[in-house]
Amino acid sequence: MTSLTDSQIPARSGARNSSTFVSVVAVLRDVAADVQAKVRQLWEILHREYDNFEIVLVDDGSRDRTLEQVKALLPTHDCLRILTLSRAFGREPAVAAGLDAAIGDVVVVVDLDTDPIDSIPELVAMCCNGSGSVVGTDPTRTGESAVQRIGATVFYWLAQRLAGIDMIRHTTGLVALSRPALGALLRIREQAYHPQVFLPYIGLELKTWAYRPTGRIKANRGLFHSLDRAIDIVVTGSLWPLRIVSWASVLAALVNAIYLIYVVLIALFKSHVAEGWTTTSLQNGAMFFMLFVVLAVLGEYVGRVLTESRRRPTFVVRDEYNSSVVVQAEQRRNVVNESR
Amino acid sequence: MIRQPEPAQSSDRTQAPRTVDVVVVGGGFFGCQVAALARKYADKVVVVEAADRLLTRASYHNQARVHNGYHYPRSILTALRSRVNFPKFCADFGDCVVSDFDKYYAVAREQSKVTASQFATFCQRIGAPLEPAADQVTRWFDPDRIEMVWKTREYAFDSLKLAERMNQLLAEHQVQVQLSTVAKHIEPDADGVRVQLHHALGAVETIRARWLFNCTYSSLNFVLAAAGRPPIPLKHEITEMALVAVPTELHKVGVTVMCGPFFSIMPFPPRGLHSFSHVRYTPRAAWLERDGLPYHTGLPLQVADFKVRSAFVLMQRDAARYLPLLRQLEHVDSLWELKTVLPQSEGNDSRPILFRPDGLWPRLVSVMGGKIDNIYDLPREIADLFADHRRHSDDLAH
Repeated sequence: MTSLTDSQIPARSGARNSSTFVSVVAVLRDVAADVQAKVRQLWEILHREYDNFEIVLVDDGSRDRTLEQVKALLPTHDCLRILTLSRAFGREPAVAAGLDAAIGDVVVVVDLDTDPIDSIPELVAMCCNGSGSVVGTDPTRTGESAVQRIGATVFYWLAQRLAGIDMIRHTTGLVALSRPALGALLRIREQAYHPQVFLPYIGLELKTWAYRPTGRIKANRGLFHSLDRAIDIVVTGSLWPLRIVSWASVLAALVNAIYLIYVVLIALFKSHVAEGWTTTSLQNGAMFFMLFVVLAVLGEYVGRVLTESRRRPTFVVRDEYNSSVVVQAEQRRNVVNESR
Repeated sequence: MIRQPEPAQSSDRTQAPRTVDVVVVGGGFFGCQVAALARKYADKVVVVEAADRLLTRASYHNQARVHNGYHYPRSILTALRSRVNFPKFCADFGDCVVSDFDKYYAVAREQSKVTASQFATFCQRIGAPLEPAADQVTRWFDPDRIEMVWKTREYAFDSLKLAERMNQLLAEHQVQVQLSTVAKHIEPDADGVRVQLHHALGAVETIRARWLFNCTYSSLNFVLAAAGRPPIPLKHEITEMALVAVPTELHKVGVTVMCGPFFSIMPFPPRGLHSFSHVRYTPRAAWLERDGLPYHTGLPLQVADFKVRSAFVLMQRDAARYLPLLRQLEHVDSLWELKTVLPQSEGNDSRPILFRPDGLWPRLVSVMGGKIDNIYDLPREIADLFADHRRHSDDLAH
């Protein structure tokens, strides 16, 4: 695994870090098969590195035995919290729920399937030096098809050049946020959670951390899904499409006005105007095209305004389960002093 | 009525066992109340306490809240009963009640089991005073996380003064108190029980009693085990209440955030600090004690035996998200205690009193008060117990 950090920070080793409280948020969705081993592994790492930590697992409406599997860890692993959402809301709302519940000084969002969890201390250390955040990126776009890679490149170029969206490229979903950054992120109470857009917007000190995930990241599951997210990010990140169609509408209106003058002049100074079918058709076609583009963009924004103004919760937490580490029989024997 | 000393039994070679009417094991708030009440029906009452003072364990290690109903929006009956008992408690223990602070209740936006309007309606229904908090108070809270803040009327009690009151009460009722003494090895006797009392300095005395009240809260089953009786199903939790120094704004202020995994901070009179508890982090470990499971039969349970680390950092990190002023808290100390609840009342807020004569020896009575204002349920139970018994012995006599 290569790590191309902005600033070179030596990996911590040896003594436990007692000054930083670390929260790790992970979303679980139908991962019953190996979730226990992964959470255990994560717990071991955090337990070794930090005096104060918590693991916030968000169960995004799993239909298999995921919840059962992780709940079985509660009696033996402390600092474990499980949030269950009332249904499957999707990865982004589930992450938002986890971020909302996390209490750490640094909150790390990881994907247990694809992210290198043993690098969490490195991310936390990068984060701790400032008030900022670290965003994991995968410039190689592991496991994606050529079409997706080209699509991504085109998308980033368009978003940057045309829409002026200052966005972190090739993000994987791995994020480490300091409390100030998280506070600012949570204050952006929008329906969508797109840290690659919001974090640059917030400003604060921002670093990227490049790595190779062990598999294709879930956010880019398929072309359609990626396209959908692309539209979402553009609409979230800028008013550019709206601005463009506004200008185009003005332009079209001007063209129309000129055309009207032209028609009037023709009518005044020319007789026998029989032809003109071509221009009429062209004008009609252009106008309708314009009209539908405007409608499409307006529709998108009206939809967004509607969801924002309704202020429906992005996620609904059904339950929370916490570690309740049962005092082990071995420990209990220390106090038993048989008197019978 | 003083019984004549009877000849020494073989198990006790030193002297003839002293005979009393009632032995109360456990000198907590409930043990003292039981002893004082029992004096109405019995002459010689003895309180046996393992510590060197009264009211040192669960009666001291708690948030010292005099409930006025606000805490139970999901159990209107419990809330109403608290409302009824609140003025009684304030009247009966006025000198132990501390009321010179403002108590605020806040309702959280996320993960709360009540909404602001539900809470307001609930308080209206139980008749608990509620007024919106002043703007400068509301401004302390994060508006993104807190929906509404109210000023309420709720007090704290000073458990040291309460202990002083119990000393007086027992003296007035001529109840004998034996401190630093543990009751071990209880066995049935002709007309009651025979108890071995082990003093901290090593002295062992056997006394005979017609009644034994087991008021040892988290050690109920320790006493039952000493009697060779099966345990009562109990759930124990190791709990931590942080004692903190607060920023000046909060000196005369208590705050409770309802109703879910939130926190409560309020003055703790005996130490001049604030007690700080958190629904998520105050219980640190839990286990069930019941027949068939291995359970504690040694010395009375002490939290120090379980090495548990303070969760103050977690409590503070979480609570400061709602009330940023709490970032300035200074952790001074933590009160650790074993909290014991009946498994059946764990899921709700009812916290009933346990009043349970043993199935085989009805004169071995286990009493556990779930919360402090439950004492107003005690007189009736004690009266019934002694009346039933008198009726029973009258029947036998005639």
